[in-house]
Amino acid sequence: MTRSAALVAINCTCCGAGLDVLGGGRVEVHICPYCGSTLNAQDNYKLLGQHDRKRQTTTPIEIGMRCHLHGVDYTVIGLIEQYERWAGQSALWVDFQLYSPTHGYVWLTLENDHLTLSRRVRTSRMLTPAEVERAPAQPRLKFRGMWFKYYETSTSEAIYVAGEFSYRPQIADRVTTVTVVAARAALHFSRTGQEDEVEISTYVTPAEANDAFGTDLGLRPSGVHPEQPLRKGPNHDFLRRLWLCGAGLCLLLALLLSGGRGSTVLNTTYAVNDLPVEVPFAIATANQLVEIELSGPVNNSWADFDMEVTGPEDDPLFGIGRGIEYYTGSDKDGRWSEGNRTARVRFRPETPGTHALFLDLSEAGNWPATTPGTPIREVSLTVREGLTSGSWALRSGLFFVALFALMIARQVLHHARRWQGCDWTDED
Amino acid sequence: MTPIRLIALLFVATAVSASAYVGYWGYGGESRDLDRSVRIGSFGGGYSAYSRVK
Repeated sequence: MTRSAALVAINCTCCGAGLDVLGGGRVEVHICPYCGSTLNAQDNYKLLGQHDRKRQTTTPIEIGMRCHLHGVDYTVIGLIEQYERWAGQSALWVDFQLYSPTHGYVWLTLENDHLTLSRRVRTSRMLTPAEVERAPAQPRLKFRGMWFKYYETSTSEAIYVAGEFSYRPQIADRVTTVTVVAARAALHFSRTGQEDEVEISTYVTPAEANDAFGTDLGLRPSGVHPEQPLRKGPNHDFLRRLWLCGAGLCLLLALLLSGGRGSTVLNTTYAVNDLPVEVPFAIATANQLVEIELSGPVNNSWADFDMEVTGPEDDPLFGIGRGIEYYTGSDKDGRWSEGNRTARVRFRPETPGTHALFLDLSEAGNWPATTPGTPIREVSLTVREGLTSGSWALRSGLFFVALFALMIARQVLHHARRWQGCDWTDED
Repeated sequence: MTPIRLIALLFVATAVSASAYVGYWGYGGESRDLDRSVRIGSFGGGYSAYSRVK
């Protein structure tokens, strides 16, 4: 039986207050906000019962307000204030019943200034508190292509009701709801008496709500709601991919440039007894990286060399010391070795032409003293020009990695804050 | 393409290009302990004032 569509207003059969009729023909009861009377909307508004009107609630959304949400016109026809107390903490929220002539009845829930829109879904899938309790791991389920993970089980009690409803809510009604959350939606499995209900909800941002109601509702949400998506700008995903590409390109460039060995301009070997020597080498291109490499067959011995390089005008460019050493042995863990038989110097000559390298042996010795190693007898000298360097490409790559990591960190932090209120614990 | 995206794209392109250019010319690859003081040029035997890097 449905109510007459022509009915637009009634007087409360108990207190006589004027009440707008806003819901559709499926409204079951109309609860007077003034005297708390529950009137049967399907039977001439006969009195069914009366609630205590001591408690009043004030909300930014009121019965009778209209909104255009997600492309659908709704009217607020009723509200229920819910209360939950668990583990020494309490929570308070308001469920608004909305009605659309084309889309039926939905719920808009307001908690800590966070808004979510819920709609009943038809599904045989049900998740009960008992199933959650028995589950060996955090329950997950797939619905409409989305993976949902268990968030919480809550039992709420209605402490204030007013307006029109498609069922008969009463003060002190208790509902136990199991909530599972996905990236952009949540499912709520409720059992009231003999009836099971499943609803799917999505987050409504304050901007969307203000736009829908055509007014500033003054919502200032605190914290992060479990259904709240990360607030991303229109360029967020583009920039994240761009930083990743930039990092990849620069790191690849660093790898390629670090391997550039240039061309050899000098490769010779000297007996250490012939040192010091002055070795000329020709540099064809200025301002490119030149490498001087010393190597020698040291074994449990070391050798330190002094070098000075002069330019084409016999002008001193720099002096430097380099050492080569290599040690081996064995202990209870097996064989070991340390050191390097090669030492390198790199510089960038400002002018092309014939440069000169003065090379001298500064010191040499063996290790350990009781078992002499092989003293160095000769040293090989190689000069290369035109080397490339991946240093700046590596820095750029790391910079873009940092930018990318910042964006990911923001997502990770937001995810953690969304799941902060989850009541699942892994028991050993 | 929004202005922000264009700027970001140009920024990355510039960074990659500049890294390739300076890398080709070997910038950033020089040894950091080159002694360019006025004392050099007095090469001779005996005690050496250069720090040894092995």
